[in-house]
Amino acid sequence: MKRNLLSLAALALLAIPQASAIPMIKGDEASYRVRELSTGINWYTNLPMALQESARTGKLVVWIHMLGKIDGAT
Amino acid sequence: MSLSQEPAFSYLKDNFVVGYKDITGASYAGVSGVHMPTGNAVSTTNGAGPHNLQTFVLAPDGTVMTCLPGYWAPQDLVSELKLGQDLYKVWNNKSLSRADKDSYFRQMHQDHFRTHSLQEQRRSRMQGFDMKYEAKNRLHTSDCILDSRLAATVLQKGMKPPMGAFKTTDQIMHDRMSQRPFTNYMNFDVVAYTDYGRPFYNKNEDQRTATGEVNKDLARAQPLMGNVDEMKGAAKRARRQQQQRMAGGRMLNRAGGYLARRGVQTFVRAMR
Repeated sequence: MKRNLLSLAALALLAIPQASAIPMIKGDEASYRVRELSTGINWYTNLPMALQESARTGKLVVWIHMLGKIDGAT
Repeated sequence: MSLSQEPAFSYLKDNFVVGYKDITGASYAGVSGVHMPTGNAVSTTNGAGPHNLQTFVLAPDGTVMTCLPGYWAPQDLVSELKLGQDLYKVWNNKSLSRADKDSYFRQMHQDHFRTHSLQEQRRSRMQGFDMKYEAKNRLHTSDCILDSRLAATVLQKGMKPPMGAFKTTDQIMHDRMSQRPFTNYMNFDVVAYTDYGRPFYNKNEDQRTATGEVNKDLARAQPLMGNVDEMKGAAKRARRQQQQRMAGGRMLNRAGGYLARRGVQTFVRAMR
């Protein structure tokens, strides 16, 4: 009986969302990912040119509005 | 940060022409703290920061297949990109009339939302401060609110809104896209489309302690980017718009009631 109660308490603890820190990506790792992203993809900054390339290749355009630059401050 | 994570990075690289535009200074841009590429990064919920980031999927002629407001988790982003590709097949189908294409567009956006898993819906929970902003400034007119009585609980200190008070951001996105079938990018009303939650979005990634808590002094001192001046008047404008809409609705109801009592029902129908 006592063991069952303990098991229930443990289960209850697991079920309650724990107050934990927001998962954070450290600066070094973030910096590496930004570099990979900005150099691993050919980024267009001119929409008409991107659309032209889209018409040529048949691939759709993913066009992103963002505050800042893909390889700089955001 | 989700763009650099798999499966988003490879899917983007292999299947799309990719580009971006810095919207700093644009009328619809929000405000954020400045993050250097060497700074920390945190994950957040789908649709967070809609004023600061928008991801469009465009056909070669510039027609918008879909637009994701704010951050999106990599796996969910890929799923929406695939929807964009499916929609392009409809747009490109010469045997369909424009009306049929528009109908498919609406249906496919709604169907896609219905297939979202419970986990994705959880990832798409609107940020608490955005819920508060909607409840405070447009409780009775916001299309993000499902039940205004339940949504109002978010304004009470320490209270979380119950399920069914607010739409999730994935629903907001697909509902709003359904109203904009095959619109050209040049005519796409980014302001209205991204208008939910407060214009200021910041996770204070570089102002956190080792345990993840925000250092409020550092957070207050950090430089901001975006439409800082516009932000100050945004809440006031939202409240004024709500008052105007509600006043307009009341006037219409009063006028309609007066005429209906006198048997001029056709006139009322025309007004509505």
